Amino acid sequence: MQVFTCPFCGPRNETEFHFVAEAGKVRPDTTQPISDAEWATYLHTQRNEKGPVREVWMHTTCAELFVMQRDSVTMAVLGTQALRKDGS
Amino acid sequence: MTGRRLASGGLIDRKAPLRLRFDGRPYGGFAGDTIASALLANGVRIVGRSFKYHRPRGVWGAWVDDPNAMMTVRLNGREMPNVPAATTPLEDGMDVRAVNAWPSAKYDVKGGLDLFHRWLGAGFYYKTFIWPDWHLFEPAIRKMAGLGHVSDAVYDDYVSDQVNAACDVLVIGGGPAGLIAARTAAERGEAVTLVDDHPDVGGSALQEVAIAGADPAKWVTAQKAAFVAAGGQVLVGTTAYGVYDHQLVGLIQQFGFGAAPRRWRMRARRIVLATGALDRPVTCANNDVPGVMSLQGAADFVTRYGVLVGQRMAVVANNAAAERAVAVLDGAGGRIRRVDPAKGAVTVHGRRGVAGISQKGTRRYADTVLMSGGLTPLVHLWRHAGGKLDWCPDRQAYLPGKSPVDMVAVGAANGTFDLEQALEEGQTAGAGRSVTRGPTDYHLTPLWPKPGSAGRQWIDFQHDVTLKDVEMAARENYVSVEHLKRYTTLGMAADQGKTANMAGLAAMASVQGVSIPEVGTTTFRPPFVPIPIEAFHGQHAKTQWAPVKRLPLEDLHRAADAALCEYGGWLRPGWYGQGDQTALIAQEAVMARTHVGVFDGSSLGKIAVMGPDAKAFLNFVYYNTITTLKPGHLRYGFMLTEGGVVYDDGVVACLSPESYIVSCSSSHTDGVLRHLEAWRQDGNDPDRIFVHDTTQAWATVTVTGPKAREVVAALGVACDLDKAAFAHMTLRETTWQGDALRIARVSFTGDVSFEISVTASKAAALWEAVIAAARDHGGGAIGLEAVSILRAEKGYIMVGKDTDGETMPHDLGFWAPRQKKTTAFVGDRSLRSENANRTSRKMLVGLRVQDGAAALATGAHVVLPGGEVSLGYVTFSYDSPTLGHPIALALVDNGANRHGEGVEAWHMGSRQSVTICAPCFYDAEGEKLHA
Amino acid sequence: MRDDRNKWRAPSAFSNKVTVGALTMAQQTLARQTLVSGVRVHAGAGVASQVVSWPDPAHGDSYAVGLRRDQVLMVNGLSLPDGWDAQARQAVSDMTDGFVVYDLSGPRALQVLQRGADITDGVPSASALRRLFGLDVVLYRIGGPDRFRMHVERARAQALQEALESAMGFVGRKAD
Repeated sequence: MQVFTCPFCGPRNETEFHFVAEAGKVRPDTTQPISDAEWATYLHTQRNEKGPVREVWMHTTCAELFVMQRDSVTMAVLGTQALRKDGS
Repeated sequence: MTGRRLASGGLIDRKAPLRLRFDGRPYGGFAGDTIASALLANGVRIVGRSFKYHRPRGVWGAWVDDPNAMMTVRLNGREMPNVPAATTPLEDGMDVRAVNAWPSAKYDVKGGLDLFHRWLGAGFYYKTFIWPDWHLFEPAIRKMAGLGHVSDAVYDDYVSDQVNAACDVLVIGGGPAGLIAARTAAERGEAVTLVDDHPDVGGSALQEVAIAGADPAKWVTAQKAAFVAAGGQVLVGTTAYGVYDHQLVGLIQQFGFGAAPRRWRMRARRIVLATGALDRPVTCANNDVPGVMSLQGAADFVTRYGVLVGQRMAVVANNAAAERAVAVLDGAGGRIRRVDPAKGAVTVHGRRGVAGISQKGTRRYADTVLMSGGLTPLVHLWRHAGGKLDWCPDRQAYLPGKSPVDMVAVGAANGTFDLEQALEEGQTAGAGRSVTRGPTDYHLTPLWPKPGSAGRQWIDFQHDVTLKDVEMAARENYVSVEHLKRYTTLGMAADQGKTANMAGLAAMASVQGVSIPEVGTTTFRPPFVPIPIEAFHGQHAKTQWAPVKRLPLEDLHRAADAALCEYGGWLRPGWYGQGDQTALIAQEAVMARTHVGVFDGSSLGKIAVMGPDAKAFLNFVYYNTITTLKPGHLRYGFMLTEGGVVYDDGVVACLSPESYIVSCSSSHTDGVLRHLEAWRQDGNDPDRIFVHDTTQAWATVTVTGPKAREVVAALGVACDLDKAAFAHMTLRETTWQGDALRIARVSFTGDVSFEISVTASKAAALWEAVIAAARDHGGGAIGLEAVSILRAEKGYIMVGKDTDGETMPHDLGFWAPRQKKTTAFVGDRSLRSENANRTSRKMLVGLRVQDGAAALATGAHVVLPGGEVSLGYVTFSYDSPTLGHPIALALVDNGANRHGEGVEAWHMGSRQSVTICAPCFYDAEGEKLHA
Repeated sequence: MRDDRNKWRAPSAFSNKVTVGALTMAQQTLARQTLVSGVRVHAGAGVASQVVSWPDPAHGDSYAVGLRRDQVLMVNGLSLPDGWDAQARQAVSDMTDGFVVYDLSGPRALQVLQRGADITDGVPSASALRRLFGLDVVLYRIGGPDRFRMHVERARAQALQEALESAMGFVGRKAD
């Protein structure tokens, strides 16, 4: 069972966490026309990389959303950062 | 001649005799014996029958490597099947029976099955017993498969302690290398835990003549004492069964037969693997006869239990490590004949016990054949952790290669069979340095199965898989090692191939003409030994598995004789009273429609969303427009997924422009909270929006029906409840008995309805006041069953019941926002997709049955008359007590445009004529609602 | 629906105080519990009182407990109105009746908690929020090394108590 480091709470057991999405997905401006392909990509396409990945996770106990870099093969955690713009 | 107890020696306590019965006959043993050692000491040779062929089997190994001695054990009224005799400590009064044999292992009625072995090879069930119908044979074959039998006395009602722990260094294995590693690390000031699955540490030390010049037993005691003095923790009778991500190791600590084991989840900064190595069997003709045993095992039986397993022992060994074991047996008085396997193929003679051994035509008498085909390091945990294995041709074994993070292997587990080198490795690892394997004196002549050779040669003893089975698998192209395993079941028994896997893959390599490393190994998976499921869940079972949420008023509901039902993760009153459930529910529904009903709405979510951006935020999260919602007003709305599908419905209340209450479904509160937090932090400014779950701080009492207003008025609140003053879908904040009171005029039943909320500690007082007033007006408490009928009569949906994984808001008749809302909201683009605009979409409708017909079955398919294609299904169906006829809601293709059409409801082969209608059977104009 | 009234232990059947050996679990009544969220809520709370985290204990009657980077739980603090405070730029919710509070004390109390979570003094945390026996609780030391306070949402109080009682049973036993 893995240990992840919430940027606020520190290291906690993986059962306190929930995967949210691959990092870097930006919601298109839906007030503008968006093609079916672009919307489908936003909804469904995953990079699903083998090796280092960047993901958004939620620490469900404190509800903090953050970015985690992991290795999807070795399960090593490479780093976690707060999602907030000021990084605090 | 067979086994016997030696006059002295072993770790047993000869002053503590124990009794046991085996297959009905009484025997004696001592404290410190295992069941297997006690049987061997008594000269018992046949301890079981093989899985398929019911051939007589004897004990092979002294520990986890024994595949044959599987027992059903009964003690003090508790029973367990498939108990491995070799690893189970003997306790006084144990009643032991061989599994898979009747009436006894010695005289098994199914022994004759072996005569049919030609038709019972690996995978026979894929090829035979098919005509005329497999199902004719299946029950009988299933009954014969399996080993132990589960009786009523099986011990399964215990609770296993579950401990989360952490240490700096976890040393797995308390043999010489492990002991040194543990002591070294502890004396450096690290927090060390040492585990060993035997009743005490020592491991292979007991077979040595001397360690560091000292008597091995004294040396072991000294290491252990020094370790403990340095703060180390020793766990004996404890098996490390698996290694998981981030250095979490699973440990099972045993406390005796019938006692609940304890499971540890041990997080270690670093791990030292000192798990040792096992002797491999020699694959030769008739190698499964009782009396054929592991050479290391035989030595173990002498040093641990004071048992000499045979009198005239033939030793077939191909490696120098055998000498140590031979010396032990020699010292115990065994008569040993060495048979060099390099000189030619060996055949074992005998059927119910070894009668002799022959090589190159010469047969010699023996009552025991001790085999060592080489040592196989126990690398399971290394592989669990993702460590790589390297094939070592010198040792003819897989050795730990590239290490997983922070794990080091030492001693025999590392392929280091020399004692001095093992001790050095232990010290190095204990000091936290990486271990480099030195040159070895250990060499062996490869002794692998020879495909095509004569005689029946066993590879997997427990699953009765022979060399011919491997050859057959290859012929049928199951050549990958993973296919070989599943096709022949080699390595799939309770012993997980500890003595079979190497021989199996070597045989396949030979058949294919490739090297062993080219065949590879199957995946090693936890647990290392069989572990009961109870040991994994511990107290996290039964009512602690998925505990329901409790209402603040539960004690009052119980006092009112409520049937408490699990619904949406809560324990809620389904109905009140004892007796005919349907009649009670119908009475409640009628009472609520004609007078007044009171129900506990405390489980509904009350999520406070606050801040300067709260309004815009909710407008984004909701399908409906929230920006126009004024303080004191409520609006019913949907939260969608980005796929445009309805996730939850509920009512939003505006208290002020910066303060809203989201009332979500009782079952969805946790999900909605997560949904709101995710959007709050990603894409919005979390400094300007805050989300608090206040659900549990408030209790809600809902009053519904024609007399609802009178009942609320009886509370004496300072609030004008008149129809003109207090419109439907508005909210008032007032006080009651000194506490804040919120009254929302919102209805889930279709009648005038008030949801009254007060701080949870005052719930009982409020409920009792409301119930008293309700009784004065001919009403009373109603439960969830009645409420779900009332709301269905009105056509109010329950998410997840009347909606499925594809339902979009317009399928339910809610069109306005997707047509009018110009700002972005979650799911918006998906509502403009082709799929969202199909005419064939499933839409919510009502279904009317013919006069006098019965209610439909929930889940019945809707089809065209005589049709075979499902157009949708019934989501809710009930005999309406209000209306006097059955009502049903359904999701039907293009349903909103098919009102009046006659179709059928198909259920389990029978059909019923129904008419599609609007999904509302009660007060379609809303007169009662706005009264 | 199925009548499960007998499957689940009635709330009234749970005792307010449970003792196993030297371990005691006792329900507490706090005058006030207030959830406060805002950008500067830690600093603001810290000025008035201590902000409790893990593993250092809370002292006294009135303190704030750190939950999130922008949220604290004020225990026995000032009475604040529910809703959005534009001056202080913070959101307030009175949760006095929303959380049930238990104190667990005894020399091996931490071992009881270790039955339900991966928790040690060696790994500090700025947040007292914790998943304990699968339930979300606010958990911190109070008064001394062997006394722990847990706030659990009201609907889960019985579930937490049942889990604690089981774990206390294991730790309270003399064996090993």
